[in-house]
Amino acid sequence: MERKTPTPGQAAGWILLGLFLMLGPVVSDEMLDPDLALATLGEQESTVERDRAVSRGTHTTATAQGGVRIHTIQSSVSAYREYIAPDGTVFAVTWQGMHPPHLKAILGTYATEYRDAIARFRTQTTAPRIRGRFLRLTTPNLLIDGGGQPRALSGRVILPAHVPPGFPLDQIR
Amino acid sequence: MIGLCAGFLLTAGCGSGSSQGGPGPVLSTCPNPGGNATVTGTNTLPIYLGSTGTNSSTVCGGYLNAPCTDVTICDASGNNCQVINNVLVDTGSYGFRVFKSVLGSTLYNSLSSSSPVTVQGQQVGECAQFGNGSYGDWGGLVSAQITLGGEPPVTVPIQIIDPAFAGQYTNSGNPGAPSPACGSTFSPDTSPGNAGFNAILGVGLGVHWCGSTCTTSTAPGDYFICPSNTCTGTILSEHDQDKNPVAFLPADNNGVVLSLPCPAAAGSSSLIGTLIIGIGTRSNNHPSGVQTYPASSSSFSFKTTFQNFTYNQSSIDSGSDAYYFTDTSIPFCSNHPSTYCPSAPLFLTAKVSGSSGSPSATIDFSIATPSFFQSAYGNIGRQGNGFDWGLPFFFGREVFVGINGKSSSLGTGPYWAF
Repeated sequence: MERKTPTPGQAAGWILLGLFLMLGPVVSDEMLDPDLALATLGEQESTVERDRAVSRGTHTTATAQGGVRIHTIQSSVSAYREYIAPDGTVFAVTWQGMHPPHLKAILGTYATEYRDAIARFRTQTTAPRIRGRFLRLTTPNLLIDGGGQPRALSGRVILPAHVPPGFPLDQIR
Repeated sequence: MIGLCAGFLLTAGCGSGSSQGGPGPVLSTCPNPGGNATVTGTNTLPIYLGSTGTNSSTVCGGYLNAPCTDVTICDASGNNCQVINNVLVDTGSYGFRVFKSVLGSTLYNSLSSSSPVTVQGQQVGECAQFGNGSYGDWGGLVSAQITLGGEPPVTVPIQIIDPAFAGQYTNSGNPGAPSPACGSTFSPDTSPGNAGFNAILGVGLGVHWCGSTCTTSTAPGDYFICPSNTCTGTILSEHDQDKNPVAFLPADNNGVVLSLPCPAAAGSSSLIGTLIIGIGTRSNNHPSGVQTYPASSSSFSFKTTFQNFTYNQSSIDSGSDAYYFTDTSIPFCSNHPSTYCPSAPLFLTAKVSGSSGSPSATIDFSIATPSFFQSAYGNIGRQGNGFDWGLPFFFGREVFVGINGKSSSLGTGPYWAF
């Protein structure tokens, strides 16, 4: 995971990310190997090697308010982000674009809880049934929301119990 | 309260907004309460909400704000035809997809044996991802002949929704393979009753489901081949992708118009409108007094500004049952934690803009405690992390949906006009 001098495109990505977050400096930038990892929800950032991102892309890291670190992978079709608390716990994952990330790996032990919540949402047969392109679900451990159109999907999975005190949920994007 | 009412088109009961949050709204911002009669012509299809027309009470009729129609499907040779009812009219997607379970065995067998879409000799499977990408439709692609109303038939690839295609999921939607194509956290639609439709007619701004991205990249995760039930992503030409059938008509191919009347302020048990094919091609689809809002040619979205925040990925989506947006000041319903239940009806405004920022217009809309048990209701809002103008927006309007790259007197698509 050597650091590289950014290309102009990557530098532009830095600037956009920085503006978007209006936060701290980008501290690293490296091409993502498909077997490179970010981290798994609820576990330590050091689980980086266990996660498997599905797409090659540009991997950047930024520091946000309260020492929260944000890993971003920008692939050709999507952007994925993972939010790391100061204690190293991964407390949220988000995505935007044409395809979600490899959620089974990224959600780890919460993957089943996530899948079950989505399945319940889609198979409810008693009123009030919902049919639409957005969802907001709460489970014992997770806050799940997102939606969009086929070419502009977005989603968030948050572990509310692990969000650092005072870190605003609307900064998880 | 009087002054607040005066700024809006009102229906009976304005000013008597209850703080009890009762079962129905008393106010409506529907723009044309008396108009939008059913349109006739060979380029039209009826739109049914509720258990009326050909809708089934257990499919489209069982959902709030589900606009559905009838479409005729034949095999690629034009034989073994079948009328499919409970077809969701969806301006938020592109292409036709139908549950395997509603196809007669003769038609299904002909489609799957005579005209599968193949790559390297394998039938292509599609993962059509909706919402946050974690649910949608899985199944194989076949070429079929589609007839929309009295239009000439067109032959295009369609998806046959089947969670068990290539053994990827079980019939109940659980993973059926170690690494299923759409992911093991994906929930595929399993039945018309659960999904609320027999089929989806995607007549939005796009021509192809995926478009050029999937001709060179498998990153979108849309198309797969599955030898021995082990799926790997494949690129797919636009020719072979599932696609908006309207764009392939010999005429009337530049877009569609959705015309729906206003439901009663407290909701209606049924409603009938019209899907008109073509824009400005016939006397029944000439735009009059509408403004064109160009959309992005990549994401097919435009802009909506609400409470000083601009959402760049906003859409007008007949496949969504409500206005989806975020307003943290409105409480959620106690029995439904993503639906807004204000203590009294709310009048809200948002600004819509073309994808480049112009032109712009202010849209009035209203939110009240929903009539969950009606079939058509104009004042329902749900929490969403963007801004999605769902079916309530269509009530009392003619909404013109201009297909990408196609021209009309309103301009060249993609655009919305209303």
